[in-house]
Amino acid sequence: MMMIQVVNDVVYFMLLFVIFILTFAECYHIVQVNTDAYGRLPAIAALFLGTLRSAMGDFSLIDPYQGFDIQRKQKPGVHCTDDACKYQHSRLIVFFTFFIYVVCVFFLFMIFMNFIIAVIGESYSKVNQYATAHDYRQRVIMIYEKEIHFGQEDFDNEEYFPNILIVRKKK
Amino acid sequence: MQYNYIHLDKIQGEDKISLTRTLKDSEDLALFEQEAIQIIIDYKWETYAKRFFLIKLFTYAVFLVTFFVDLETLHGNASEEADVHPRVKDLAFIIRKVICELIQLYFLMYEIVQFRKEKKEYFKDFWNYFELLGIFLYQWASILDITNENTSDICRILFVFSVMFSLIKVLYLIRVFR
Repeated sequence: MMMIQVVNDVVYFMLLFVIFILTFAECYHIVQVNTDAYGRLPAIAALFLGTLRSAMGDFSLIDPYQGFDIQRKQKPGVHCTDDACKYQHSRLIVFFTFFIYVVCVFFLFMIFMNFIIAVIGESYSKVNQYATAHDYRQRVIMIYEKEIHFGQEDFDNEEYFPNILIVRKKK
Repeated sequence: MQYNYIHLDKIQGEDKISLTRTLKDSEDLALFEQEAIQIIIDYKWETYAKRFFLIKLFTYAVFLVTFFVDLETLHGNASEEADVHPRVKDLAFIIRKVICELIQLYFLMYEIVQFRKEKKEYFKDFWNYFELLGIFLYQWASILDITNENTSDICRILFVFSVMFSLIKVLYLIRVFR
């Protein structure tokens, strides 16, 4: 079938895609990107999903209000004046996280996503070229499936298994 | 006018199934672009295979509708305020289950007959694994559903899988149409 053919063609590509996503997810994990939005999921799984989302063009991996720069919850009665108390990560780490983010979007979304679409398109057009032949092959498989259920009386049936087929064609 | 004569008796020989078997096992797609081959396939298809697979598709469609209606009642009456809704097991529930079971049994019988005819060949086609797995998962899930008062987590997961397998089966059966 067409779908199987296309899936077969992109399977190695998908594998590479998963490796890329895992690499970036691990990078995010190292700089401790916040994964509260994913609830009880382990951090690496949450980041994998987040990276996958950004690869698909949904960039909400970053919190829309705080970005990667997560503010600490203020304890009541304590007034923070310095950065270390106010924010979870140092300035350097936050800059660096945004750098990873841009690289990730560039590779995964802009390059990889378009590669995959191109590969699928090519595979589809290759299959489509032989669509009629594929179609007949599928039908032979189905006919065979029916024929194995036939008994001897069906095989002797003149209508099912005629001795000669005469096809008239208009020229 | 042009008349083409295809001497099927000479092509198929004594063992009449051998023709389709050879064609089925052929890897060469160019073969299926031959006009004579296409005519033979068309003839066989229109004479007996098409109707058979249409009936199969229709039967499966009846199963799917009943199954999906059944799944919609899985979580009981949501308007009632309670955390756990016990499964409502009224007459409609029994009728739905019986219809589903009968159709699943029919498909299982079909697979068994196919296995007995094909023997080792049967396990070479990976569709058959999907088919058996789909039937097995459905049976497992529905047994859990019938015997337990509430729908357990395992039961839900199994139902999700059997719905996915039903999608594969529909894809398989939809080949009737070009």
